Amino acid sequence: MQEIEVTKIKPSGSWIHLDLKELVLHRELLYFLTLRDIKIRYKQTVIGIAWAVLQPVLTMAIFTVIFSKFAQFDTGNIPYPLLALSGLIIWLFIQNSTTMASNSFVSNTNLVTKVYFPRIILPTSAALAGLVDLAVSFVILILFMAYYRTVLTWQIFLAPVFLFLAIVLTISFGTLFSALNVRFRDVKFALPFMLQVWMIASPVFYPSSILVEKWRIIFAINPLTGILEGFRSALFGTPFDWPVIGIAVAFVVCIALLSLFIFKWMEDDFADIV
Amino acid sequence: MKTVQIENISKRYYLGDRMPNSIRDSIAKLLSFSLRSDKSELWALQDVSFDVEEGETLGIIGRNGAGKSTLLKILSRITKPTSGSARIHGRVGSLLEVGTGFHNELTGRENIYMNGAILGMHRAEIERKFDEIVAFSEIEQFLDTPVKHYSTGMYTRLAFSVAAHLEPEILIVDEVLAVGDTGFQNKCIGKMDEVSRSGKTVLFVSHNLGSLSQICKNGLLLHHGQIHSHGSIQDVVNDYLKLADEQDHFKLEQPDDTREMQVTEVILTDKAGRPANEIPHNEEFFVSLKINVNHIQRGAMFCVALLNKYKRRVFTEHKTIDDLVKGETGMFRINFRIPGDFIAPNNYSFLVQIFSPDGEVLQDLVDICPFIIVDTGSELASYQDYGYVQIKGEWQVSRQ
Repeated sequence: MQEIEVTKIKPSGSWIHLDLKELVLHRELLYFLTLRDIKIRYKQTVIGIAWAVLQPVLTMAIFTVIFSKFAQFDTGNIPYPLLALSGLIIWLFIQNSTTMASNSFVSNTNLVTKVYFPRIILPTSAALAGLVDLAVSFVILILFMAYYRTVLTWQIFLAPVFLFLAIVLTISFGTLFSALNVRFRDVKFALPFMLQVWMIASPVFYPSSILVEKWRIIFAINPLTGILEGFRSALFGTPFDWPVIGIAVAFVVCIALLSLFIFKWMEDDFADIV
Repeated sequence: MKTVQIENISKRYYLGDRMPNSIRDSIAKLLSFSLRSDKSELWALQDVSFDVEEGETLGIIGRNGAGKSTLLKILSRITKPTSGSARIHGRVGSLLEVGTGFHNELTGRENIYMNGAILGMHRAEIERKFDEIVAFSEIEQFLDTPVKHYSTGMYTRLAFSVAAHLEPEILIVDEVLAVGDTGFQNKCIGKMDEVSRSGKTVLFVSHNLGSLSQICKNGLLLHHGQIHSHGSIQDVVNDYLKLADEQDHFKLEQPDDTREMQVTEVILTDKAGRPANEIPHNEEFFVSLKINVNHIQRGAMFCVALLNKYKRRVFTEHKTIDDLVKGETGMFRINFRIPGDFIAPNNYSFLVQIFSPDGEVLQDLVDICPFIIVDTGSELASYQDYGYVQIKGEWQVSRQ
């Protein structure tokens, strides 16, 4: 005899709890929504998935022209185009996926008002759909590394760890902004601006070594600094800056928990106000 | 066994500007110490309690804004109640809309999986029923075409087919039958009937009293967010029809006594003389007018016309005023009878005019007394719109 599911419906309480069992029950929905977002991402575009290649490569080319000719950062043994590209593939994933996730409720109003599912699935799937682009651009990075004859060390095995941190960070921010966007449409205008500032403040197109020593710890509060530098160390075999990476991990965990908390707190009346 | 137990559920909504919608508003709200009056709040549901037994089919009716949709949304867990609680035993499938999550760029096949997952089906379950869903929808050839190239009919057929193959223990349905062509609608009603016969618990909201009485055994009438009555579907439908709202009737606030002739009040009444604005398709009803006649212009015309929902005339009746009041002056009540089994279920309103003998319009009341002829179980109940008149035609067949 099958166990009968019992659903209890109550007003939103003051306690916030995450129903993990329910998330597991809805894992297929996460899969299908991610698949849907991937499938429609490049529909009705002429060059399709090639955008995932063009975006980082063209940006890298522009940065290379501007910064290696005029600014001339000291990038050590790493060729500037590789430094820029390795930063860009992570950055473009964060930027695109956070933007997509932040719009997920507003652009799927009918899902929110007509069916029940754990709400967190929607921004998560929107963020995860960016993984295809990340994978494609990662392959491009490998090709460029082969072209520049980069010597790989055992450290390359740690690269996925930093990608994972970037994904967690993206899902956290995406979730947070998606919830804020339901009530405050200001997010639509504020987010692109905030992302721009964030990119400039992070070592995406410059190495963190150019920063003055006494500011380094302040920059480390930005978890992206640790993620980008750690990722580059893994790729190019340079020594890891463990304190900075440690701070990044701690901040990613804090941001993830805080985002989850705010999301859970706000989600109950999504259907009424979206 | 009680499958659904609902205890004292209430839901409050804020109207208009109470709900801050941007950061600026929010800050403004925080800064202004006087949280302004609570006038802009609305209780969509107030203290609603009832139980649904296992295998019961319950039809929920009420006028627009009575709280039906809010109730279904709370039971489907889309929104939370402001107070009160509910317990549901069993897997809930709710269809508040067909085709939720359909994406225009995806093919029919992809949308079946997508929509199935959204409605809570597992992949294995969708795969098992896939052929059945496709067969039911009659769109085999277009399975791999993006749905944006589908006709509306094909789209709704596919959407309903997925929904119809959901097999929950408790089914919550909101008016989804209002889709597709008539043939497909019959198929849908058939499917709903089948579901309710198979011993599932069904909660069904619809405006179509005909199909409600066909499918449901019991009814629940909501009025202004509260339970008005709860019992057998026939009793509840009758209660619903009695609930006429005075607002829909026409009444002149300040009659102008200097006018020679003036209509001061128009109401619709049912066969028992009670005010009504939803009239069973098979019952007669009356347009009841009050007219004040101070002076009779010989040859002045009084005219009543029925308007359909597009405000076009269905019929016009007229009479000279001196015929009506037989040459006397004063205040009169005139009842104009419209027989039952004559006007088809649909939305209507009236046009009342007074003309002077030379054709000048003296009074012009357009689109007053909106009302609905409701289907209380005719043979055509499953159609959404089958015109404006009912006739008893004759079919004559001879072998050729």
